[in-house]
Amino acid sequence: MATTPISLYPGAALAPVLHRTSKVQVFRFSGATWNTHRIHYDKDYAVAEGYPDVLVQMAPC
Amino acid sequence: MAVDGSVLAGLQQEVGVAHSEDLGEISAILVKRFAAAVGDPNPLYNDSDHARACGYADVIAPPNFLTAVINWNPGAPYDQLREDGTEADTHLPGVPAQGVRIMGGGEEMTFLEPVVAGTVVMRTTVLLDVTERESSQGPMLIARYQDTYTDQSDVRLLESVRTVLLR
Repeated sequence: MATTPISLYPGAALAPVLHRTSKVQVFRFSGATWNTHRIHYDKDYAVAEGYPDVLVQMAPC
Repeated sequence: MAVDGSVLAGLQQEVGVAHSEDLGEISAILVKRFAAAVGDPNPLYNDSDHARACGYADVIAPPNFLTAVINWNPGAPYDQLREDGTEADTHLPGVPAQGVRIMGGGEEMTFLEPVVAGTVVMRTTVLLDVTERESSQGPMLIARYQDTYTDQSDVRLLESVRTVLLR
């Protein structure tokens, strides 16, 4: 059965994209983007900043 | 330490001033590592032969690649990094090297041309405006930077407006 082609036009609603990341991916993304901010790999630092664990980077796709 | 009037004054002096930087050549390995880190198997990002068969000189970069790279320099010595681990050169004209917490506040991007590995990229950054706001954790500054990425022929590849929160 043929699938329905995606119809793209300004204002079209796109299906949500869900992705569960991991600490390994967060670290590798920091490496690939030369992002040395401790908040992405140093849990003690992230906790001191008020977060439960390291943070995922902005716009990682 | 928090942002104060001197930080705001320093930023206001930068409004409208253009800063250009040569980011160097976008190599295929940088593109492929980024695609691997993101987890995107698109062969246009990962396979040079496939990209050539599609008419490109080499792999092309995933859309967010140019804006995702935090620093294009080799990197400062450890004793010159900020307390948070970041480079003192933050690509944020007007922001002091120490004593300010920097957070991303969103980014709007316009993709104009594919970025092919081998391209030499220039970036021009302009601080558009800065506003002051009181947050639950004290005074905060909201700065908006416009980045224009061009190739060696001055063709615009990507434009973005970054919102940066400072406190």
